Amino acid sequence: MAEITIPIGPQHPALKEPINITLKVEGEVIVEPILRIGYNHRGIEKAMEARSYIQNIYLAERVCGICSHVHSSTLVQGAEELLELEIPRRGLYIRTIFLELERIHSHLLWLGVAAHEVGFDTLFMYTWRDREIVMDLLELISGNRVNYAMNTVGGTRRDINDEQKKKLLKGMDALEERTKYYVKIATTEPTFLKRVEGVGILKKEVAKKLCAVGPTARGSGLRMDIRKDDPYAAYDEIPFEAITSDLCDVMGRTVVRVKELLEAYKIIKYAVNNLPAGEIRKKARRKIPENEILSYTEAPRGELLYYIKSNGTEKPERVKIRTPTLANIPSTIEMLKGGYIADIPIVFAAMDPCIACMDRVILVDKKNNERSMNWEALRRYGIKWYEVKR
Amino acid sequence: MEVEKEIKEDLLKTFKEYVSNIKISRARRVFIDVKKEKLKDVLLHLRDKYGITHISTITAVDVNENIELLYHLLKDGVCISLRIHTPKNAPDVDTVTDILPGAVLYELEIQDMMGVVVKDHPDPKRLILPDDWPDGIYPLRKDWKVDWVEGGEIKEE
Repeated sequence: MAEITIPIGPQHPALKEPINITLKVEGEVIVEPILRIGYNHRGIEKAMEARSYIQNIYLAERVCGICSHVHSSTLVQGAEELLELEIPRRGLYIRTIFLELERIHSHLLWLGVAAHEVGFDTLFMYTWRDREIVMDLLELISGNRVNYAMNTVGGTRRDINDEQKKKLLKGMDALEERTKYYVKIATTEPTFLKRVEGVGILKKEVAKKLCAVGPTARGSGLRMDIRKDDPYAAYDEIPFEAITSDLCDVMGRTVVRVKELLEAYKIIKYAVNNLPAGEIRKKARRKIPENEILSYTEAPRGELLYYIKSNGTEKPERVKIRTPTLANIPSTIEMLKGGYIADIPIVFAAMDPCIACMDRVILVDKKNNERSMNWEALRRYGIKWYEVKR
Repeated sequence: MEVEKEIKEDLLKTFKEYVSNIKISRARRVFIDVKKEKLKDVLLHLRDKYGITHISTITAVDVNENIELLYHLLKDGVCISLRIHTPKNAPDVDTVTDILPGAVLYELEIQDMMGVVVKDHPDPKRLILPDDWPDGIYPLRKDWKVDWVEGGEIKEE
């Protein structure tokens, strides 16, 4: 049978964020998927060089709309290491509580999206309703639902009081009960199982070879979790388990994320019950001595890396961000190969892609008006672009 | 700290003058300067002897007349950063995708943003910048200014 090329995106009803997948198919089977990214590049790395560390905290937070706290945490812990600053333990515990609250809201959001992609909208409604519990808790403490602005160089900006502690524990109990129900659904409900078992296979050796990270790697049996391997914040003091699964398919990735939810509740309960007394932050100097560091964290989507080179001023010389979605792209291409067209949404969703994180610049040249166009011009440009591709 | 020290001693012994400036900045963080022509040999050695197959990313830094490339390798939380230099007027580097297939996108990224030509890359296409972005303009280089684009309120004092 002749090969046919199907373009999907960057604008497509099935995609939540702009990305282009060009598929070469034979019948229903994908022969070769080609991914093109960069539609959401915002030049954040360049912008960071022109701003102070304090300003960069808020910029880093806006790299991603879902995992915002982990980005600012990675930046500030890098700056703190450059300053050789010892952070008060209460500050680290509060930072950890937020990191885990964020993981909960991200994983619940993912579970809903995954359920929606396989046509199980009841589960989608359930998880997103329960996600409101954690969103309310985030708002209760920080005042914000998305960009919490909790971090600063030297600690955290807001404290947690006794009233909030009680609400946190109550919220975790409620979520734990609901999540146990989701574990039951995810492992027994045939409508769900039929769509995720044996779909999007990524063998352990392949995942290792292609440097997969996060739940994608752990769902293929690779034991890698920065929280365990290179402990940061308060993770060296808090007991928890790194979850892996040997299933190597979408089911494996689902199991890892749902079990990680249960671990996150445990971490938060421990951190709230053992919250050290004392200060939440230390005053930090604005000028940071010349050096370079690597700051690793485990974002909800996997290993997040910031390389920071300082030059003795209050602005960094260079900040390099590597987000987990970019690391998982080669593995996703591998998963799509040999699969069916109908499986693309769930295979793609199983990586939990965050395109905004991955791309970070849109460049508009106002002077020459080159990159702004009206609807008709855009339509013609699209047709021409695909003609050339073919 | 044992693994870090072991790797340091071993690399000094095996590669002698080709590696220098080995810095263990803290537990699990090693920075090593490597001569450009020996990079692939060091990567092969680390892969075969220590089983290091995970590359986190490649960082490119614009340093005066050179472009500095850092290959961040990760194994069980220990990050080894191999640093090579390439001249800014004609920056190039051999692909490492034959040793570490996971580096494929990171090499395209440094090619787009810093203009480092990656020789023998399996699929040398645009990754981040638009298809019609002019050749020879690399946004992450220090001589490229943000106010070239719209909304460029950030100006150098």
